[in-house]
Amino acid sequence: MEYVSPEGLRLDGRRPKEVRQLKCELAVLHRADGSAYLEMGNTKVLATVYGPHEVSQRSQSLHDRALVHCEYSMATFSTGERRRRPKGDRRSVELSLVIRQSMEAAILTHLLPRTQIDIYVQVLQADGGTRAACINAATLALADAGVPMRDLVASCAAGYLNGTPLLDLNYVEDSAGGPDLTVALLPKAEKVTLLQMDSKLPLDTFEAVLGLAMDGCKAIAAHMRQALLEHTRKQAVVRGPVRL
Amino acid sequence: MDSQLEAEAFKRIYPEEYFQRFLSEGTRPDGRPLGRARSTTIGFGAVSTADGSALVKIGSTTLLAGIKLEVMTPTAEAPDAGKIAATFEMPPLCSPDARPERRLEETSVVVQQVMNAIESAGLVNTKELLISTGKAAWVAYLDIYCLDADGSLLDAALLAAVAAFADLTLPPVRVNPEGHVLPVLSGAQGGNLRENGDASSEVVTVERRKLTLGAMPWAATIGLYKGHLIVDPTAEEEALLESTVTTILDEAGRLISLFKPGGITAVTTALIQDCVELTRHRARELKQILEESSQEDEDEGDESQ
Amino acid sequence: MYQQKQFFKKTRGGKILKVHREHYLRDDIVCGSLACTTCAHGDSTVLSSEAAQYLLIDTNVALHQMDLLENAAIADVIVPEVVLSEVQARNKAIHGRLRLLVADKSRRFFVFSNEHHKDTFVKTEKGEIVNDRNDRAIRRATTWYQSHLAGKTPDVLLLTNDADNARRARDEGAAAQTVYAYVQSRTDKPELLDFVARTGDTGGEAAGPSAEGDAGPQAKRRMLYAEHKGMAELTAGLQKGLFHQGKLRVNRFNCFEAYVGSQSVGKEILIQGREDLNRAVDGDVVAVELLPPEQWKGPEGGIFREHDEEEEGVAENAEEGAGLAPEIAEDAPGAALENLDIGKEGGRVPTGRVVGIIKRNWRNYAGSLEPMKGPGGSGAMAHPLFVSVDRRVPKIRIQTRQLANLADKRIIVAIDKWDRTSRYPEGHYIKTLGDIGDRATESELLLMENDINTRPFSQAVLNCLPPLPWSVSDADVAKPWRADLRNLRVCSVDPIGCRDIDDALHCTALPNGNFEIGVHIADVTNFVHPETPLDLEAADRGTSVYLVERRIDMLPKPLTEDICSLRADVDRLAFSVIWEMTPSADIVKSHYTKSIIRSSAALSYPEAQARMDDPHMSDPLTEDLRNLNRLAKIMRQRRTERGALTLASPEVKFEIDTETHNPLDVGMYQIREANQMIEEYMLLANVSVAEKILKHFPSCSLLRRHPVPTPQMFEPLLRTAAAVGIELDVGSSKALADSLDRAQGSDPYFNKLIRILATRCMTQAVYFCSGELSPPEYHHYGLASPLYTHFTSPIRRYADVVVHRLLAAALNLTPLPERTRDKKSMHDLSDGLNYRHRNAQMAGRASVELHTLIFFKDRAVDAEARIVKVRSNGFIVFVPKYGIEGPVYLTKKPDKGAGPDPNDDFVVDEEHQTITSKDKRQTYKVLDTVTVHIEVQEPQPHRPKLILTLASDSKEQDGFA
Repeated sequence: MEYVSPEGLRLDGRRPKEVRQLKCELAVLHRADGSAYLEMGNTKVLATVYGPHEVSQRSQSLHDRALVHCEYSMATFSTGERRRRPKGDRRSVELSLVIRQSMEAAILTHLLPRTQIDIYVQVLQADGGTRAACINAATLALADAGVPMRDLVASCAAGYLNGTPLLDLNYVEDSAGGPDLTVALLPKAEKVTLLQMDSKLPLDTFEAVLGLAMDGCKAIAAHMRQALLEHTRKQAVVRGPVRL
Repeated sequence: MDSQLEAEAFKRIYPEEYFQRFLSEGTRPDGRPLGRARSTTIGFGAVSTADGSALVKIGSTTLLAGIKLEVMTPTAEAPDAGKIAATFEMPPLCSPDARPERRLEETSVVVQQVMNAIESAGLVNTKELLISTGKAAWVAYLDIYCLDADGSLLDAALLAAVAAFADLTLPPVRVNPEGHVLPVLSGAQGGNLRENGDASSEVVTVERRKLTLGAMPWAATIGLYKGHLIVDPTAEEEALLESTVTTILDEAGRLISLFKPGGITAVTTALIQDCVELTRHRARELKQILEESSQEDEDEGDESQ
Repeated sequence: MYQQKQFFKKTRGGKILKVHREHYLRDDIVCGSLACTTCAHGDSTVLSSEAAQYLLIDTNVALHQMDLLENAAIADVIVPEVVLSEVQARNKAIHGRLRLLVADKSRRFFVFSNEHHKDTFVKTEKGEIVNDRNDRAIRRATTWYQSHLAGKTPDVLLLTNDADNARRARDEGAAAQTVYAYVQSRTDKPELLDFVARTGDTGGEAAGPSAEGDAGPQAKRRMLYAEHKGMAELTAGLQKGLFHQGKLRVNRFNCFEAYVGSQSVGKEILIQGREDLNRAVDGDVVAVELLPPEQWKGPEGGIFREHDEEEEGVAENAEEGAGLAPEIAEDAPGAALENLDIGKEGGRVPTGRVVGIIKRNWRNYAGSLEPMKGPGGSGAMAHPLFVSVDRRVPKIRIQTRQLANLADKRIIVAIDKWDRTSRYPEGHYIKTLGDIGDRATESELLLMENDINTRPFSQAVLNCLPPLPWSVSDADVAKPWRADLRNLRVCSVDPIGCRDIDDALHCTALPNGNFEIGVHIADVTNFVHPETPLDLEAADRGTSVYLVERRIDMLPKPLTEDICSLRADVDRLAFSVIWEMTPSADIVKSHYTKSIIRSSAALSYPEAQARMDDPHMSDPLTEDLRNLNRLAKIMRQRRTERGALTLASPEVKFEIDTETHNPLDVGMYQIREANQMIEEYMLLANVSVAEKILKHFPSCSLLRRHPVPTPQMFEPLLRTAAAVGIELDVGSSKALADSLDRAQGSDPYFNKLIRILATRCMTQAVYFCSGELSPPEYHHYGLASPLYTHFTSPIRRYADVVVHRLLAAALNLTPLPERTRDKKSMHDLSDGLNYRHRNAQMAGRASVELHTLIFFKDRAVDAEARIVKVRSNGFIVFVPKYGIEGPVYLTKKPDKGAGPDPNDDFVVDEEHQTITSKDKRQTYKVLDTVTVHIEVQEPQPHRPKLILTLASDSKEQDGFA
């Protein structure tokens, strides 16, 4: 199968180092403290944040920092084949953990001791790169909720097919069986908070793919920051100028 | 202190009084008159992985319904019909009230009511889901996700279900003599069908098509509070109401379902008649919104977004 | 870099899952023209600014006119992406060729990504079918180029043979032409016309003059064939059981007789004659209608019918020539009959006629032009007939302006179409291979005809080889499962000059009086890992191919001749089977292990034989050989007692001039005891391994079986034997073996001859996957073994590679590759290997035949021959010394429609297989010895044939002048 044509185009018309169209909206849901809807191409994800609020189970309360709780789930119709995804299946648990850890790296949890922050991420439609999309949506929802953070967390996947490093794989490329590397980055400090890869890759190729994924993260971060700014500006207009 | 903040504090401390003050003025905290439902929007085809889908918003109440089709062997009792199976999900993100056991009750009630309404109204003729008699039929899995639970969930759930069925497209398939259902490939991917060889395998070919929908059911939830009838209550209002009545009418305005979960208010015929009347009004509104939205959807074309 | 793009989404029902893909449109797609001043230029900017015109091709032009496009005179071509992807979906081979053209920058083919260009992407309109949408996209690309390059010199011309599409293009303001019209306008290159394929979709306008020679003046063209039914009617007919679907297989020796294996009838359907074949060509998938039973026929079978005897115009060659003698049933005329349920001659079988073609199997054919009367004029258009070397293929009418150049050449031709009014299919010339009869040309041709891949190994394949020079490493030695057997006295015995040594042996006398015997096979799978390019290439090649003068390897040379080859005095990796045997050759125990060996001698068969025979030699190695030979003889004896057949084939061996590669001498290949000894151990190893792998993998072992011949297949043998008073029992292989032993004649060669004839009754042994058959069907008839496989030649057979992996997995050394576990892919693999194996054998035979012809070209000889079959006008003889077989005519073949009936002179006695002259002075009986004169004649220029005649001193010369 040819994933990159000799003309240098991928199956969907992108070039190897391009991300898909990114779309984000903030404060899409009313009842949550923060929410965000994010599309990376055909991957569509909704994230909501509740909190910081009191810790629901006292015993879990942490005296020096906030408790971050994360739950990931996937809509039954989000994939090609309908699958009931009972909460707590292995993939969901793993993904919840990955998202939580990536967010904890950014949230200034020490400023919010004895509180709880709930992050819920719902995949509505999946077309590859769900892991990255969930992290990006979660970070925007946290920002919308006003949770103090060091920086945004931006995430992007990259792979290696037909001897070419490819950025932001879609489902077809993802299922080609090549390596798939997901990176989450704190872009200001250029610190990698998440690095996941699920197959063999020679070291020199790995470096190229990692570099590409990091570039992707930075581009996505820039886009998200822009969206955040625009959202804030709009809110300022709605609320009127802040009086001191 | 800012006057807005003052109101906010009052609301927190004395919610009932806060509410009553509005009602006595003939209005509600969000500025609506008592009889008016929140603004309603329908987005068709919101999820392209589904065979039919719709995103419904009534105020902030947000629901996403998706239908996935699968092939089944028809049952012996109904060899010429497919079937519908539905679920209603309230994932934790939909509400700050994190009590799964309460949600479980609520979800089973909603899914039950939605299914009953669809069946009673005759929205979907399950014979239309047939592919080949006795051999294959579609089963339509309808899954409704509540993304923001801000009251009157049943109304929104039913609307989302109806809209998702309106959006549903059955894929073109063919059935070979062994009864296996195979996709009909379109030219670019499958090459020339004629050149695929093996001409003997085709028996039944079903075109890509939409369902012919029957009568549509419409629902309106009406809150009862101290003699007031409050249409389409928000979650905040629901928490204060004595009781709610959800009325479901069919296309012809006939009552097909009445649902009043508990509460202390006595139900009189007059009350029911009032509710039916309010629902009738709401049904006309919803019908128009559905038609307008589907018109827009067609204008956009089914390939682009 | 990350600019936003407008995008569209395409929905399609792929599988029954809904598939949804993004489709990005871009503003950075370049036009690829050097004349353009707006687009960025780069590597791919190939379209010349000097070109007179850019050609933009549509899908059908790409699919049908590839031979034209490949001509160097066609350059500056724009291939829209939509065309490329349509071609890919419809014909992988053509797609590959198109890609090669694009990759060759000198050809200046440019792929324009029209589907992702924001200005050239077109959306499917409601109700529009895909073909129409794609045509529209192609036209949009043409008009885009036109406006994009407006005012610049090279103009864009849409090449399409679809008249409607061309008209629409002109309406939209684009220039469009048919291929024929364009090529005609190329007055600079008149020879281009030869390459234009004459397809049906030319829309009348410019189909070009059709071959007029077939049916006289065009005005009143006669319908020669019934109409092919449409797909809808065929589908309906197939469902109702009126028609039967199957693949057409034409008799290799009679192109007007074919069979269609149909599941619905459960038998082969016979199709006879040009009309009933109705333009179907070998390999086509056809729909057949059965004739009423009273019209059923018996097969003509073995009667030689070269192309068209009723042919008008050209004088057919008068007599058939001689060729290589057949070895097994498939080589002989009438091979297709094997499955037919026919009793005696005249037995009727279900007979049918072709009513429609479901899938064409046209390919390129190699052959030569039939000599034409009249001047081959230079430059004038001629319409000669092309005759394929594959006799199953009908003659093909082509058009050419270079007849004189092509007359004596081997050329390649493709079929384009076959109309009802045309006796022959119409095609076009593709390329010239070389002169007819030229050794190199003919060798290339026979390789091509047998679908043998002679391309050098690709870099990707070569990258899989270990670094050279390679030697056994410490890591190899350290592997706990690799036994170090370098202390053993191992040797190999192979034909002279063998460089790819797969196998070696050792034999050690044990203190208890028993012998330890090891068969060591090159450990090829240590280097060929599953699913690597090297592995895939080897699987595709299937086997090495041995021609008289060259070898086409399955694996690259470093593996074949060095790394894997078990050469003397170097450490090599091996896979060993080791038995302990009693002096009476009973196996006490056996085991299998990967090993390291160091062969002490790479002997040839004559050397090994000489050592064993020389009473003065008593070195340990010679003693080992003698022990091995003694045990082998016992095993052989036992095997024969079980019913294994000692078969024989007329193998010949050429001595080749190392300079010219021409044959210097030819003679029978001598079978020595040493050959039989090695064969015995290889058989034993193969059987042992077959048992071992089947035990571990009952459903996915690759085995080899030899089907029991049907009684019908023995009939010719029985008749021949009966005629000379010998009774053969073909009831079982044991009975046959015994009766063959008893069949002794007056001379020593008689028994061998009978065995050769018996071998011809049998079919080829085949590979299969154990899960597909029941254990009784695993039987190998010829070896009388319930189980058999190939383990001993992994360097040159891929089956052995698979078996090595199976054995390694059975020993828990390596996991079994995914593909080997899958029944379906094992089925496909064994089918492929059988095909390759058969082709390799046919190519080998064809090569011997070719060299025989070259050998006799300059020398006529007399040789002893045996009559193997009596015919009405002569007999067929077999010449053992040269392994050739052919007819000897006692009467001259009469001229058409005139002359005396040949039977006037000679009378045939079918029962006794004799032919006697009317005056009773001459009688020839089957299996008689005669002396024949062998000589090459050229009945037509450049068409040499091997002609056998009775030598003057053979019998009294009489009867013919």
